[in-house]
Amino acid sequence: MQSESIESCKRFIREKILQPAEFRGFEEQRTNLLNLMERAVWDHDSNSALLIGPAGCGKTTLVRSVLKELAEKKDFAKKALVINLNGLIHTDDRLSLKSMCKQMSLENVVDERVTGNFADNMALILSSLQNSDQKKALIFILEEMDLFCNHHNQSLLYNLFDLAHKNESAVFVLGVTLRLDVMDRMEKRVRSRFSYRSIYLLPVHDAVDFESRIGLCRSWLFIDTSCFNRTLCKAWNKHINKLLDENEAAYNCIKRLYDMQNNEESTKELLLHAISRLGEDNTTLSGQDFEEALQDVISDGWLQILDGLSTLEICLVIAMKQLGEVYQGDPVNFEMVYSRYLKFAKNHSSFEDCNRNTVIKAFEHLQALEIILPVTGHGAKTQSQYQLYHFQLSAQQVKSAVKRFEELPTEVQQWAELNLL
Amino acid sequence: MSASENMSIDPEEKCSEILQKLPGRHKQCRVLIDFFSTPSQIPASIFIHGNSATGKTLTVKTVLDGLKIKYVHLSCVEFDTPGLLAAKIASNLNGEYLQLSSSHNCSSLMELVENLQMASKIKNDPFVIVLDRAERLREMPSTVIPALLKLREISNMNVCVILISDLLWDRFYHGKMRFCKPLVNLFFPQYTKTECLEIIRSRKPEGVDDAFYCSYTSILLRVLYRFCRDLNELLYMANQHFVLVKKLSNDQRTIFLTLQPHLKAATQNVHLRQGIQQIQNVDQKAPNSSLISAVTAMELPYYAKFLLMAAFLASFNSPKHDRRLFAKHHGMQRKKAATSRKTVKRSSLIVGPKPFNFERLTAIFHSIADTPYLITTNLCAQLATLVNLHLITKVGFSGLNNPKFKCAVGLDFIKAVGRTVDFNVQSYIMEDF
Repeated sequence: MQSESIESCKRFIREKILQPAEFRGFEEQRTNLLNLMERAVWDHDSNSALLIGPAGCGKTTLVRSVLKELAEKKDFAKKALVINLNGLIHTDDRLSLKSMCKQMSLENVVDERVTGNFADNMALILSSLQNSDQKKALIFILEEMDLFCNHHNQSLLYNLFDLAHKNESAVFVLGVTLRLDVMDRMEKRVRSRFSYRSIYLLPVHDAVDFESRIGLCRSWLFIDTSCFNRTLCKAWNKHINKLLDENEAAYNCIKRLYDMQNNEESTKELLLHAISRLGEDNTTLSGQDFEEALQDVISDGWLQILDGLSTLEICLVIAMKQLGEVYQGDPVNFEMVYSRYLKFAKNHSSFEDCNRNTVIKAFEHLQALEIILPVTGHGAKTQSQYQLYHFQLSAQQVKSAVKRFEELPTEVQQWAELNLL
Repeated sequence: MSASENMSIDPEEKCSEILQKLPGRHKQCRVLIDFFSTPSQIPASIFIHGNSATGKTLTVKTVLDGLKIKYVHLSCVEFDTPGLLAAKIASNLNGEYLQLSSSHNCSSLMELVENLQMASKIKNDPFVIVLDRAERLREMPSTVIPALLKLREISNMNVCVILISDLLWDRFYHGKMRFCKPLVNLFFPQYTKTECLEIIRSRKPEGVDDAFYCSYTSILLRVLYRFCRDLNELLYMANQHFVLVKKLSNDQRTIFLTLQPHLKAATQNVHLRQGIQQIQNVDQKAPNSSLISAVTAMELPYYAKFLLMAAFLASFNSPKHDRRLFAKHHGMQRKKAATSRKTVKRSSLIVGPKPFNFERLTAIFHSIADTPYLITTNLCAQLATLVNLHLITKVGFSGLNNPKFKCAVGLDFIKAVGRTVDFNVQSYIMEDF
């Protein structure tokens, strides 16, 4: 395979992976939601529902695919109005109201009369909406619904559910959230107006699902004849099939990651890392590529950070590790670390020690990297050198960091290996 | 339509041009170029982390500039509320897409999303938001980080958010922040020694011989690299010390001999930026010259100095030793059985000062100051001055009845004070080591 075609191949696959996911699975839930929305739009039957599922399981994708399907039906645009609110950006009721007006294109109606409480404003909006044109069903999609529960008095939720409950005009309220306890966070008066209809998207974690994940990987890694010539396609796809079916290492990597985090995003990340290893000198994916990619995805970032420290800073880290062992993880202050470091430097005459100010700077650098975190609750009056800190790394991490570190003086290495207990 | 025709920019030429500007960052650069060379392949969020001075911001900016992608770069230190952040991004966005000079009242993330939606209707070019020192985002409301990472999903525009930070992503979780993860994680490792040399040499002052600068930098780095790997600091050191060897011939030995004493001083001054003046008078032995000058500049009254020393002794000595230290006839120390009891007791010089009350302070003061008589009101006035100067701090809310104090200066400072009045403080400190 030429290097040119491998580059375009890489690009093609990456594009496929980075595209927003299509919705798959959960047929029952999808039909359920579709029916509810259809009833609201065409039968003017108000309702409310919750869509609950863990992060990255496809809640938003589900809602979007349902709305897309509805939008293709005739006169949906005439009969319904979709209003999207997201708890992450609509952080209070005033913003939500503003955004709602905008999405209903009613800005000029409300602009001059924004006084009064939320319910009045809401009523005003609805009445002007009904006056302006023929009756439209309103579909509210509340993303990150649990965050709306933090709003003052939960008045937005109260009013929306109240509308749906009264059934005067067609309203459908869908809350999308990842919290299972969202119902408990609602006030009683809000809850009583809610229909208690919940749709759960709970991903299963079993062999069948994993096989479908492998199938997904296959479909991402395949290239097709629309962009490449036939022989290339055949050769590449055969290679991918062989990789996923027969190569133990690649299969195990995907399996291991799946067992740790079974959402699609992490698998995508693994594949992105794996295909970034393709190049002129490496034209086929191998099991080793996958193993290295997995290392990249799940690697311990602390070790990488520790690799970048200077010898002096590593010495301080070692001193703190030893203090942690001696005093069973009690917090340490600068003076303790410094005296430990001095003790070491004095015993090894070949080792040049630094003056106090340089060590303070190194200590502050560790603090900036949050390798040590200050103990809170002490008064601000504590002098900086007596401020207590919690050491964030485990002894194991320090050990492997010392092993990886390049050009570490021998005496420091020996000091780090010292068994104090 | 073939995939290669999709490419608007010829990658190879651009690539090599960009790579040339960024020595030692080829791998990271490649990854970014791969992502950004095709608009449809830009991920929604990228998290870039690595130690300070590893070229994170530089790489991102050079790549985006080189590929001519619209972006806005801002530091979260400067724009420290969601409102300011959104306003700045929106004004930049509107300038690029709508040719408007000002943003119309963008003061929250919601309005930013509206602006993004508007812009995407006009042109569907990708837009990149680069947020430097992203760890400061943690101080904003907990919805900000998830909202930024989901900006593409919320706004439906081809927008990419790049967060740059020194910290790991693990450190971004705090309080009530919900689970979220950037799609792509990119780590910038520290420059290796050879890369450091290459970069320092590329910043060579004008009109200097190449080979000469080469040997100068390698000598410099051989000494300093162990103490400091921060590239900015190394560059500063290289500039500072170059004056010393400017006029020498290109001979490794002479350069080394001239530099050596200065470099030894420099290792003691890494990150302190004391400048060349300090380096030039290395031969005079003055360990804490800056501290002594600070003490003399303060010019405390004679008795205030003794009061400060008394406070120091009261803070760092346990009351049980007072009798032994300060009373004239303290008698023999009673012999104890061998101290087999191993308690985890540490010297107060290490764990910090202890509070003391006013009576103890005056008692110690009178025993060390050797004054005929000094009335208490004078002492109180001096004490108040010292408290105001933050040399002594008041502890707790004990009120007027029985105020407690702590000494807030270190051993080096108090030694310098003692030297000005010929009083050896150190001999009065009981160390529990």
